[in-house]
Amino acid sequence: MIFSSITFLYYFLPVVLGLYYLAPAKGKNLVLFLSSLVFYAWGEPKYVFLMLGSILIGYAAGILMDKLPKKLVMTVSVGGCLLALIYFKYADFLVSNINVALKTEIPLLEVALPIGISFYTFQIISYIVDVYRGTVEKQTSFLKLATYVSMFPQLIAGPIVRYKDINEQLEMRMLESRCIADGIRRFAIGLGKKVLIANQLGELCQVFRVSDEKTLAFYWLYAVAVSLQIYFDFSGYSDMAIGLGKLLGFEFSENFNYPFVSKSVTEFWRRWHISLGSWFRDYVYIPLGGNRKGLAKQMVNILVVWMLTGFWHGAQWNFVLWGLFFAILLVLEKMWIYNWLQASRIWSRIYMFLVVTVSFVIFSAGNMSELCTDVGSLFFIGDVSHKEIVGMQCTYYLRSYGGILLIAIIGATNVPKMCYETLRKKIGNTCVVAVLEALFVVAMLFLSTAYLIDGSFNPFLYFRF
Amino acid sequence: MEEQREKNSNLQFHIFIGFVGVIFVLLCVFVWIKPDEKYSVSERRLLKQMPEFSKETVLSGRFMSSFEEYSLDQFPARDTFRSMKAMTSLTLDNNGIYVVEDEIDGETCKVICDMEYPLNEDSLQYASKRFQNVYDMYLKDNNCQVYLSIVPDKNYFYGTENGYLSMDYGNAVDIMLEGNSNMTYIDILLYLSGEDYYRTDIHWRQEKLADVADVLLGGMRQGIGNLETEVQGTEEVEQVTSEENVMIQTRYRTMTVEGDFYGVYHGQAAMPIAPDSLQYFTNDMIGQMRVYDYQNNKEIPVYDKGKIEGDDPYELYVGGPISLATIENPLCDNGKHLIIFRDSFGSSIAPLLAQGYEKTTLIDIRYILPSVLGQYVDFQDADVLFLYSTSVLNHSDVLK
Repeated sequence: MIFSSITFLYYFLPVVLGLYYLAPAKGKNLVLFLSSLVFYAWGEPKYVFLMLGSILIGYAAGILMDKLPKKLVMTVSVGGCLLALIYFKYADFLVSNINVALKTEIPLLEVALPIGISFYTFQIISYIVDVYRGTVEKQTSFLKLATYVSMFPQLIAGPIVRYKDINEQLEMRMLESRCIADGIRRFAIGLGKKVLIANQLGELCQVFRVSDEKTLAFYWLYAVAVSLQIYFDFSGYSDMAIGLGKLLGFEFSENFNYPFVSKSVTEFWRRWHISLGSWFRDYVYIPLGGNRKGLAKQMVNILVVWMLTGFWHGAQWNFVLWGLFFAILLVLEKMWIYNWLQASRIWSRIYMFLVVTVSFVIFSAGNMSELCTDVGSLFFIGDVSHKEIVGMQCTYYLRSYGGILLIAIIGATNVPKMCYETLRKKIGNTCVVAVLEALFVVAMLFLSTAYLIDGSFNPFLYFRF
Repeated sequence: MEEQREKNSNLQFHIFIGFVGVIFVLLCVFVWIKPDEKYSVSERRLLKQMPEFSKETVLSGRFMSSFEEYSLDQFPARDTFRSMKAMTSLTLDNNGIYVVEDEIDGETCKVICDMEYPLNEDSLQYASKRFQNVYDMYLKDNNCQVYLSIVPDKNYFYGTENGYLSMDYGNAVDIMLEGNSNMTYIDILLYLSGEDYYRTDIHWRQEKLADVADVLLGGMRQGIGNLETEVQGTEEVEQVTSEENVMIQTRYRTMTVEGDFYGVYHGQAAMPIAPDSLQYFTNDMIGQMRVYDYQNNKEIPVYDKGKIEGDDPYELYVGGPISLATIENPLCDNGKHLIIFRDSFGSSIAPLLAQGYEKTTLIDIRYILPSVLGQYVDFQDADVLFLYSTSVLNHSDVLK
């Protein structure tokens, strides 16, 4: 089930919220756990058991760490979780590459990817490692641990919530009206970002994909559109997740912080998919030695971490390249240009525009051949060099989607937030503001519903991760 | 002071939550209690019904995927929400549909078009192959005179001039001619304009097609009017003059069907746009024509007014999309037989073309396999016209 669906908005959510609010404090975790199972089973009935099995591994690891050698328990349990992830997500990738490299014909497993496996596996691993490190106490209640891992707001597309961040909330949480109001606002904004902007830009990207008139300008239009689409899709989902968390009394950490205003890749990754970046930092980069073992080792660590970050996104070479692309730029920045970029106003923007758009073109490529064509064409290499620069189709779609692109570009910066805060300061905390905000939320809900009912393009890009 | 501020804040939160909550709950209640509907008139399609709930459908995931579709189809005030989307859409077209203004019959009107774009060359080549398949099976050895004519879609007339994309009609014709070099092409483009199409529908208006019918008949050397036509290879082209138009109109009585005609684009556009009205030509000859519907084995009227209340009122003309029908013309005894391979555009012009022939056969190879046609149709010495719209040619996988 996805948040931006009629089923979720008008069937699942009201029932779950009703039951959740009516349930006594002690029963809320049970309601949340059971409803999360329904939520997950809606898309993957069979894989509910896989998720429960992974949770059981995490739970057992926590319990057994008191009784068996900690390191052994940690290694075996993390290995078990990773094995499941590798089998379901990467097995066919490995087999097909072995087949190519060794000219063998090992049959592919053709296993369907369980939704959200990358997210919940990382959450379980973080719990096991934190218990091993002594950062958190083991959870003795299976229900509470299962509620943490399977909690539907963040189950299938993050943010990757750390156990240590919400273990107290699992025990006791307050449902304050401020929190609920924030949650509603945040969810509505996320829904609007996803349905009204990301889906529209997605249609433009689809049009580009099937076009037989791909000119240089059209490639750049696509590059901008796809970058914004991915941002609005994923950050919209995170907003909805955080909003739902608030509605249920949880505080999830932020996952995005206006990444497109960054002046460097280093800054970009402090603002983009923050929960994933910090996960890799805490559970891979620092254990590898981080920056403590000399510059050369640090550079190697960066390459390893970013290659894994790319690979986490999908079992395709373009994701590995995407990660390495950022790794190289991060190394470059650390060695030479970071300070210069931070001081520059114009060059840093040009640099980041090129980096971000090219990176998301790499990210979105269906295969290596498409990747080469797409990236090459951005720089006038390949067939595109024989065509006109702009073209009729590009002109039309630029005119047609210009308004949405403009809204998306402004919306990707903190300008709307600043405007809202300035306006709020001027008007003050009055009931008029409350009514205006409520009208805005209702408008978002109605418009999103209208676009869902009449639209056909509604995938969640981060589902496949 | 602090306490007062806290109180104010809480009041604001309660107003906000109350306002949003009440609307959300009301909407949810409507969603839950609204009786399911079977059919959407505006979209001309059956709506998804509640899927079967069983262990098998749940475990296979079929229940869930069907429920998603069901929830979209059965949403309360679905048409209103679709209109809301259409009216707030920032893109120039909404799912390919756009609205422009045009002067039609002396009035400025809103016209709904579908941006049929781009030209699918593979599809046109496939259509050519299907036509050649028919040619090889029945036409080449039966002394048939074979003609081809292509009806441009409405977007051809409105698209480019209003800044929308439209397919390269010339290229479409070239592809069809290349694949059907054994057919004589009759160009009707010069005799058509945007106002010859319904404002809210994909189709052309029969009452505007007298000159086109004359051109086609002239092209097939069966002229009933005074118009000559441009046939491929000749350069004689004559535009319809106003005197000729008057003459054409006097050959026919124009009948107007009671009630509004909401064309197929009307539902797709989901915009408040005035409906069309259906009209048709008749005269003594057309009045005496007899139509036989081989698909349903029954005689039907040339203009079946019973269809007006149906899903698609455009089926008024010769029964609409039936696979095989014949029109007998008792007032014509020239012994000539016209066979029209056609789509829905062909249905409306068929009665006009049938005036030049003793017998006219209408075949729609979207609904009948060409291999069985030999059992029903005598192709010997017939004039054969392939009359297709670019809309069908561009999506020709429907051709058998």
